[in-house]
Amino acid sequence: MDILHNLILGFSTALTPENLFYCFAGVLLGTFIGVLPGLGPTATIAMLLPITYYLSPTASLIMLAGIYYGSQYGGSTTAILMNLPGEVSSSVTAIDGYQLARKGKAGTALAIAAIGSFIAGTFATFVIALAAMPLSDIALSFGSAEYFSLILLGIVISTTLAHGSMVRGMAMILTGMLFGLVGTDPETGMFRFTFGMIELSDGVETVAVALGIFGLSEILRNLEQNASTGAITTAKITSLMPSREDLKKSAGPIMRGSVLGAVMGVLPGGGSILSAFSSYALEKKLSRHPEQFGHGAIEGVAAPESANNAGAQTSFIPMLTLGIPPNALMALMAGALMIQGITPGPNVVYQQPELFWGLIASMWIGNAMLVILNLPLVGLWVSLLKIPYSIMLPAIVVFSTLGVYTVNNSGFDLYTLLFFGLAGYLFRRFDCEVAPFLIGFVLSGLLETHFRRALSFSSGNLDTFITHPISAGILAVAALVILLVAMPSVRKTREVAFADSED
Amino acid sequence: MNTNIKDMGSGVMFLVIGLAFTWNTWRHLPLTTDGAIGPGSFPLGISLIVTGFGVGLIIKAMRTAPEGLTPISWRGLTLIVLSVLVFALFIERLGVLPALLASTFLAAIAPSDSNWKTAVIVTVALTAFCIGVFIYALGLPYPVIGPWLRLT
Amino acid sequence: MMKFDHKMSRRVFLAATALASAATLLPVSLGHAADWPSRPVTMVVPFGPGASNDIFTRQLSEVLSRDLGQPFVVENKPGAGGFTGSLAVSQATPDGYRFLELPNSVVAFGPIMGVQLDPLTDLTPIAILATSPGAMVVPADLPVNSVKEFIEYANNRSEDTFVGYVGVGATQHQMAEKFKTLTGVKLKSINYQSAAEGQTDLVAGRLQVLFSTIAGVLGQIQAGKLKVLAYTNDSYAPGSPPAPTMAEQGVEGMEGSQVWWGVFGPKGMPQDITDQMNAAINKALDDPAMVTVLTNAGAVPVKGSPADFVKAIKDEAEIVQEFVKLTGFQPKQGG
Repeated sequence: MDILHNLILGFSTALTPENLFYCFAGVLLGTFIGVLPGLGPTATIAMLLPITYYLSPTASLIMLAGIYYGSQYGGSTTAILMNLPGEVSSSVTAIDGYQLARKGKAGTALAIAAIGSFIAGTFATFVIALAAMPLSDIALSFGSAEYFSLILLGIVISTTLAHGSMVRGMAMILTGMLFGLVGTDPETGMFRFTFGMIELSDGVETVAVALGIFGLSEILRNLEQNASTGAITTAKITSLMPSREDLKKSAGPIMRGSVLGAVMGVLPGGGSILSAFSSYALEKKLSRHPEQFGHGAIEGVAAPESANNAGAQTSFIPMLTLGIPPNALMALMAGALMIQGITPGPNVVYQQPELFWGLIASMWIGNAMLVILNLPLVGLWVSLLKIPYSIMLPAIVVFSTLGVYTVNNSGFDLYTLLFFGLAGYLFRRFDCEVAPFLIGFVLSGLLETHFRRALSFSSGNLDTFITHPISAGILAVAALVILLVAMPSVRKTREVAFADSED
Repeated sequence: MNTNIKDMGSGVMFLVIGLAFTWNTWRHLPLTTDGAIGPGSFPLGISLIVTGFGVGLIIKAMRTAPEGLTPISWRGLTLIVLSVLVFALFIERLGVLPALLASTFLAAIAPSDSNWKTAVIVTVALTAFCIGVFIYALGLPYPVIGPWLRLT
Repeated sequence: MMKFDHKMSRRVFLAATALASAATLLPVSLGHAADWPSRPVTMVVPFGPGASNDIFTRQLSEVLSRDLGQPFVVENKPGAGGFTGSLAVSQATPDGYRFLELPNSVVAFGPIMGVQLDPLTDLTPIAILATSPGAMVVPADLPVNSVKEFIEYANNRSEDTFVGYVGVGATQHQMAEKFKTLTGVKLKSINYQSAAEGQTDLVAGRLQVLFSTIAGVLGQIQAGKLKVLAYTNDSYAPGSPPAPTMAEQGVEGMEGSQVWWGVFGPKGMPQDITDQMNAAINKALDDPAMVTVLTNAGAVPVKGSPADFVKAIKDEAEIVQEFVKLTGFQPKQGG
């Protein structure tokens, strides 16, 4: 069979000592930088790029890819332990992961995150091997009309993310959307809401918003109590490894998260951002105990982590099969190939089969390495929680501050961090959850851009969203979700929401 | 007063943000350009809805039972704000080392029951750790001692 | 004095991850007469990592570190379309320890973005690195094989024909508008924020033509999904698909529309350091790795004196002025 032949070629390439070594170096470094908030895989890969000239093309791509998906593994660690999400996708993990940590179940959360990521990584590897070509057709079939509908669906779905009042959740999404529009208008080049600050002309830095509204506001909230007496968790740290019960609960979310993440990862214009919280929202909807979400539901860690990791891997598909790098990180990967004289494009798979299949095989090997590397580390991470809060608090402040600074080497981003830390603190005092804010923040620019571009293509005709079949289908799903969500909650509103559940 | 502070507070925040964006859009951004949707339409729509949510929550606040708020730790709040500010002001001028020392120390004394001795130890240890990881291991191009403190 | 040593720390770091094979990183001093550079030099890239000028600068720094015996460290300082980092360098001490790498968009700061930074007076032009012509790219199955056929095709189509470009007021936008004006062809413009989005729509056939540099579309051209109808001038990299120039296709006046990359110093650089850096960059452009990185990204290495670079900047400024006059483009300050 062809696919078998290809996989054998891939594994024989990936298992050479040289490639194994670079794979390990990549995932190790990736985990490390993933754990540190701020400095992400993009900057790390850029720093290593000139060195790859001296490596073989396969080895360099294997190492750089390892840094990327390794950092996705590491990214959940600080989100769970300290409520410090280094990027948007791990902010979803932080919602329930951090609550689990406070309940003394950080070990369970971290282990499930690692196991989920491994299963998702394995699944995504096979998806790439079996269906890279058909999936790249999906990526091509998504134009602006389709993306608009998809992002709208994402926003509709995210209203279910809030575990308190629905009204506040919606208001927070929309407020986030307003701040997401700060910057330069993509169509006319006009500055919007920059208040004369040239630093805002590229928009507000996402990492600064995420770390401010989650991490810094949490610190301020904790300072209301006598902080130094306790640790993050005053509960007894129960078990390091997940129980049978936890594994059973996580199995479904991991599967569904993997599928959702693998499919959405292929879509460059917003798909990868949507997959983590769509899978979270899906699990909440399917769960028999949706009220546990937001208060430490293990499914709320399993699903987004799996989706995130599966998506990280399938996001290679457009770059490898179409030669279109969807983001800065993939552009660096393409750059690494170009330095080697290989032009990324549809021909790579035919002209460089050992590179293509070797990379895919190395992803699975790298994922196996990561789970072996990370499970023993769980104990170490959890022991960090025993450190008194008087030491953890300055550590969290300094990590977020330095972390934000490393993203753009910009002092202005630190004022952004502060602004959103204070805003997040106020919001949380008034029982407004901050996760929906972040989702609105990252999606609004995309929503508007695709809406306006779709209308440019259709000469302003709104029919375009219905005449495109994929777009029409997605909009139908969105309408269905609104019905499903609105019906019970209207009833519930009468009973609960106006009394507003306490956090 | 017979108002729910949490509803009132969130309502006022949404109202202020909504109005600020509405006003700014109205003042500066055209709603259409060359017949197509302009830079102002989308923000105007959203900011009006946010304003509406604000008004709704304020009305609701006057009809719901009062609810208490936990007291703000003004000491903690001030010191954390200073900690980030000092870092932002120091890093490019004085260098990473002074920035980290000052920022960590301010954060370490933020809790009302912190003690000076622990704060100093934590400050030194964390600064050393950060410089080791970010400057030496990752090789980030920030001067440990900045231009203002350099002798040459 | 500067306490950190990037090269050193990177070697420690490499040892830690045991990437011992990178022995080429060892600095080799060529023994310059003057004492510049006597400490690490910072190369500021005013964009995030991953952009082509970031990749070029990293390779250039690698070569300069080796040739000049001091680490050249790349620092990304993104923001405001490159303005934040550029402004920081323009105000830095012109001591030869802080440089800036910029594409030709530096010229557009004033006329397009409405911010105050003139590359000729607020910066010191040192050397042009490379150029890349604009390419007019269409889907392979579009039934046209020349610019002329394309114009006829677009004008006779019942439905709209769409032209894409990346960035409002940027080089590709200027090319698209100039092409429309010179030929009078009936095209509707679609603006993209990233090259990837435009390429996707072009391959999928939603766009009929895209103005782009060749680097991003090379793979799809080789795979027979896209084709180049013309370049703006004939200085395209070896390995790029051959195609006639716009002028050869009967569209005169687009020769100057191209992307270039160059190195600047802060305002008021001393002449001797400017000359030394210029010589070092010209020498680096002979380095095989440097040449490979540039040509594989569709760029042609260009050697020249600081005066040559000044001329290129002035030429570009004229093109931008012409675009502004043509389209009535105004830097718009919203709220």
